[in-house]
Amino acid sequence: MSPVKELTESNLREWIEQEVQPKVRVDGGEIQFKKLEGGTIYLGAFADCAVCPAASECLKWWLEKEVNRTFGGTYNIVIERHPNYWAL
Amino acid sequence: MAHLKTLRRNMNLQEWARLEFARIDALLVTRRHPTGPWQIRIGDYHPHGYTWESDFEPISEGQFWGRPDGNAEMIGSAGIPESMAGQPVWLEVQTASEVFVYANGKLVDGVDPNRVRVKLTDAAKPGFHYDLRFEAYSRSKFDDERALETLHMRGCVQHFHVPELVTLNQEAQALKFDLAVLYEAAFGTLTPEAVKLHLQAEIKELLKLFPLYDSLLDELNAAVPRLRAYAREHVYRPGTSFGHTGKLACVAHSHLDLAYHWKVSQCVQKNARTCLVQLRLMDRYPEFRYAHSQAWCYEMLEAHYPELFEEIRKRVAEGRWDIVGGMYIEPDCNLPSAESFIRQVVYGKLYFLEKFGVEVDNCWVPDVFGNSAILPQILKLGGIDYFLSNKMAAFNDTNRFPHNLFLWRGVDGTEIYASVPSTHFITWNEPDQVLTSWQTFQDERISDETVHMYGFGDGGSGVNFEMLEYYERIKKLPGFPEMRLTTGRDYLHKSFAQHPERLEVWDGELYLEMHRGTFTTKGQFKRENRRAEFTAQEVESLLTLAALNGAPYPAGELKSAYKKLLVNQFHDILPGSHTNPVFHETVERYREMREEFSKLKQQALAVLAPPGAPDDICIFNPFSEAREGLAVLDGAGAGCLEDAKGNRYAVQRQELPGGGERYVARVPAVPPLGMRTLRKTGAPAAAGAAATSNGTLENRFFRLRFDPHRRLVEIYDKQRSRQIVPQGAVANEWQLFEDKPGAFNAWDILPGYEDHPIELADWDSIEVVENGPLSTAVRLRRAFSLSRAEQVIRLYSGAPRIDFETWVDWRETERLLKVAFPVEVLAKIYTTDTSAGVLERENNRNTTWQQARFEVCAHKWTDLSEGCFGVALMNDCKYGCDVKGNVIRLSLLKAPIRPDRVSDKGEHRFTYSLFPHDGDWRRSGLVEAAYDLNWPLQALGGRRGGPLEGKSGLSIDTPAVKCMAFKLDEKRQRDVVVRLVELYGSHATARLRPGFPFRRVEVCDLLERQTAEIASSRDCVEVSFRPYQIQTLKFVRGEDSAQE
Repeated sequence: MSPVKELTESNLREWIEQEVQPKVRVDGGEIQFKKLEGGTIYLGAFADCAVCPAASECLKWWLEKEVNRTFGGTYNIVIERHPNYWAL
Repeated sequence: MAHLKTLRRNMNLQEWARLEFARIDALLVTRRHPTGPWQIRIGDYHPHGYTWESDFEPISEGQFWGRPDGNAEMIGSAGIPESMAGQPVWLEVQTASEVFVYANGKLVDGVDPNRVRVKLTDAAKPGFHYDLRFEAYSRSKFDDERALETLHMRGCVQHFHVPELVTLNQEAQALKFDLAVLYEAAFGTLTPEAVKLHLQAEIKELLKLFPLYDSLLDELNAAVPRLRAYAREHVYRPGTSFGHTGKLACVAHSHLDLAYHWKVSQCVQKNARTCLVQLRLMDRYPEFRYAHSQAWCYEMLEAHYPELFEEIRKRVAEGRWDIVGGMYIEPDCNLPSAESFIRQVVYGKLYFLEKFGVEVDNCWVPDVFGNSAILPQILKLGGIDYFLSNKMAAFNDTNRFPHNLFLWRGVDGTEIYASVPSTHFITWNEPDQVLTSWQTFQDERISDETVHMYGFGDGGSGVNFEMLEYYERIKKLPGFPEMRLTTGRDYLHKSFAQHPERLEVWDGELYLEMHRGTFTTKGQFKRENRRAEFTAQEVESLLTLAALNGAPYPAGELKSAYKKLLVNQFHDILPGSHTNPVFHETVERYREMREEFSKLKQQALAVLAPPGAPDDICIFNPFSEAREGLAVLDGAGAGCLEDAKGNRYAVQRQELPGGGERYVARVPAVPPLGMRTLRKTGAPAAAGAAATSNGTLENRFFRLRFDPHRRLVEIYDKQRSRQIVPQGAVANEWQLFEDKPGAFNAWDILPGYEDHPIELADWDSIEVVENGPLSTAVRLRRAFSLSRAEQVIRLYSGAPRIDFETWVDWRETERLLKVAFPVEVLAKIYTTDTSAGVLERENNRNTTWQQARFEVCAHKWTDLSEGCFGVALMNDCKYGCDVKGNVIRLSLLKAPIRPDRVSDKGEHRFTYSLFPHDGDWRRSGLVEAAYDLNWPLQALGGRRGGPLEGKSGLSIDTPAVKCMAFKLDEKRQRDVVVRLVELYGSHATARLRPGFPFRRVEVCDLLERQTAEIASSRDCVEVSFRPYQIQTLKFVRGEDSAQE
C-alpha cells in the first residue's frame, strides 16, 4: 500500500479513530491524538493501554510503522500515559 | 559484601530449597539448534481464510511483530543437526501469542504463553528438513499464565524469538516437577501443619543429596538419578501415616468465551487451537480425559477444521473426550426468554446426537452470572438431568452459598441435580488449588468426592502437560486428597448417585451476588434481544402457517437466523461484558439476523397475505388467543380503517421521542394465529376522548398532574378512585448515580451506589403532542450532564396503562440511571416476570440474603400488589430492577468504561409503562398488557389476508396458557409442534383447537421425542397444566411417527 495521506492533525485524528482505535479497543485500550509538533506525534494512552507495560515500546513501534505506511516518512511518536483513565 | 554473607547465613529452609531446586533448570535443555531464516506477514483471520495487509518480510531475533487484534503467518525452516541424531527433538517457540504449528504441511500442535514446546519427532534423523509454518494470533489478554519465559513478553505487539530445535533431559524435567510440587506443598498456605513438617523434613534430606552449590553442571546432572529416586521412594509414595484426605474428581476443561477480549470470528481459531493441544495431550497421557462444551464450537470445527473434528469424534467414541453442556453455547442465564433457553438445548443436543451419537445429560455453565429459576424445568424437559455452575460459590460478595451438591427446584417445582463447585473453574493443579477444592467442599455427607476443575480458560487454552505432571505427583502426596482424572459426566453421575436421599433443596433462582450490572450494561443489546425473541416466534409461526398452506418450510434458513440470536446470548455478549470490537461485531450479527428473519417473513407473507389493493391493511395476530386493540401500521396512515361491514376504526399519528412518527390503529378482534383485512378510508378520525390542559394529562382511566418543575406528582386512578403516587412523592423520577465499581466495571453495581447520587436538572419543557382518538400524550425534554433525553408520556383511550416512551442520547461515564415509581401500595413481597413464570421476592432487607439482592433481574414486568390493588411497572427491553418498600425502580442505563471504554454511549430507545390493576397480577390482565407492550399487533399495508383470513391457525381457550412456539418438527418438518406455558401460576386445563387437520397428538420432550400420547377429538385436544408448566405437543399429520 503506498502512502496517500498528508500528515495533518485532522488526518491523524481520522486515522486514529478509524484504524488504530478499533484494534487497540479489542484489548480494552484507547489511544487519542494530542498534538503534532515538528516530526513528533504526541498521543495519549488511556484505559488498558495506559497501564500496559508494553505500551511504551511495543505500541510505539507499531504506531510508528503504521504512520510510515499510511503517511510516508519517519516520525517519532511519544506516548503519554494517563493511568487515571476514568478521567478521560 | 558483608550484608550478603549475613543473608546467606540466615537463609531458611524455604529459601535454600528455592535456590537449590532452581539449579535443575540449567539441565533441562541439552542441546539447542537455531531455525530459520524466518519470514512473516501480517493480516486478519476470518474463519474462511486470511486477509493479508503485507507480503512476507524477513524477521529476525528481537524484532517486534504484529499489532493489536492481529494475526500473522510465519514461515521458516529447520534442519536436524548431527548432534541430535536419534533423540526426541522439540521445537521451542517462546511467544506470548497463540500459535498453530505446522511442520511439513501437517498441523502438529499449538504453543502459547502456557506452552513453549511441541514435539517434532521421537527419533531425529540428521539432515532431515522441516518446513515450518505458524499461524499466530497476537493477544494481550492473559489467562493466568505462569510460563516465566513469556510473562514479560505479554502485549498487543509481539517479540520475535527465533524458534529453536531442542533436545531435553527428560529425567531432569521429571525431577523439576518432583521438586516443584514438593516445594509448593511443603510451603503452601493450605497444607496441614503436620504434613508440612513432614514434607519439609523430606526437603532437608533432598538438599543433602544436592552437590555443593557451586559444583559443575556435570556433577549436578549426576545427582539427578539419586534425587529422583529419593523423591520417588520417600516423597511420592503411598502408606504414610497421613493417608489421604478427601477425594477429588479432576475434570479437565477449557473455559472458552465465544467473545470477550476477542471477537467470535477469532474464537473459531481459538477453539480449534484449544482442541488441538488437548488432542496432543491425549497422545502423551493415556489417562487424560477432557471436557469441552458448546455445540457451536464443534460446528465450527466441523466447518473449518475437519481433521480435528474427526479426531475428536474418535476420542469421543473412546470415552476420553467428554462433550459437556447440552446447549448450543453457554448463554447468559438470566436474560434470555424460556424459548431461547429451549432452543439452546434443542440445537445443542440435536447436534451432539446427530454428529456424535451422544445424549448430553448435563448443563455446563461454569461462568454465568446467576441462573434463572425457569432453567430446571427446561433442562429436564430437554433430557438434561444435571446442572453445573460455579460462580455462586466462588464470587458471591455477601453470603456463602450453602451447597455444592443439591437439588435445584425451579419456578414450577421441577427439581434437577445441581452442582455448584466450591472453587473457581479455572485452576492449574497447584497443590493449594487442589487442597482448596476439597477443603471448601461442604457436602461430604452427600458424596465423598468433589470436583476439581482444571485447565486455563476464558480464552480457551485448557490443560498443559505441566498440569498433568503436577497431578501425577500431588495424588501421591501424603495428606492430600485422592485424585482421579475423569469426565464431567462421570463426576456428576457418581456424586449424585451416592446419597441422593440426603440432598437438600435450593428453591428458586441461583442469584449471583455479584455482576448485577449485567442486567443493564449494553442497553442496545438488551433491546435487540427482547425484540428478536418475539420476532423469531412470529416469523416461525408465519412460516409454519405458510407451510400448512403448501409453501416450503425453510428450516435451514430459519435455524441459521435463530442461531445468530443464540450466539448473541453468550454470557459475555448479551450481558455487555466485552470489548468494543465485540460490540460492533455483535451489532452486525444482529443486523444480519434481522435481515434473515425479515426475508423469511416476506416469504411467508407472500403465501399468507398476498399483495392486495393499496388501501388494504392486513393484520396478523401471532398470539394463540383472539386479540384486539392497537396495531402498529407499517406505513403512514390517515383517517380510519373500515371492515367489510362498514365499521370504522380510528387511526392516529403518534409522536416518537427523539424524532420520528408512527401510525397506530385500533383494530377489531383478529383470530388467533390468523389474519383480518381492513381497508383505509379517508374519513376523518373521531374526536379525541382525552384532554390535556395546564399541567395535567387526563383520559377516562387516569389523571396525571405535573408540578411547575414538570415533575409527575399525581397519578389518579379514576376507575378505582385512588391516588397511586404517595402525597409529596414524585413518580417517574429519574435518578442518576455515580457508578464506579472498579475492575468489573461493566459487570457490577456496588451495594453503596445509592450513596453517590447526582442531582438531575428538571425536565426543561413539556408540551402536548397528541390528543387524538387513541392516545393523548405530552412530550418532555431535558438535558443533564452530557446527555439529552426526550420522553413521551402517553395515555390510551382503550388501555389502562401509562407509557413512558423514551429516547436518550447517553453520553455519561460511569453512571447509572434509574427511574423510580413510589406507589401507594403496602406489600411484603414483589413479583418479577421470568418469561415462563414469576419469582416472588421478599420486599425487605432483613437478612444478608435480601440485602445482597439490591438489584435483581426481571423480564417484562415487576409488580407490587396489596390485597385488592397493585401496580406493575412493565418494560419493553430492560432487565435490572429493584423494589425497596413502596418504590419500584427500573435500571435504565449504565455507562461502564471497562472493558469497553465507550460502552453504551449513543442513542437509546426504550419504553416503560405503569399498569395499576385490581387484585393480584394474575387476574389483572398484566400478563397480556406486557405482551401488548412488547409485541403489538402489526398492520401490513397493501396486503390482504389469504388462506388465514378470518380463520385461526390455533386457538387456546384459557388465557393462562400461552403459546411459546408454533413450528414444524425438527426432524421432518411435517408435523406441527406447539409449545405452551401456563403463566398464571395455577393448575389449568386448556382446550386447543388447531386450524389444520391432524391424526393424533403426542406429548413430547423438547427434542420432540414422544413421552406420552394425549386423547383428542378430530379438532380439539384438552391439556392439563401445572402452575408454570411448559408442554410441547406434536400434532402428527401424516404417517405414524411413534414407530420411527
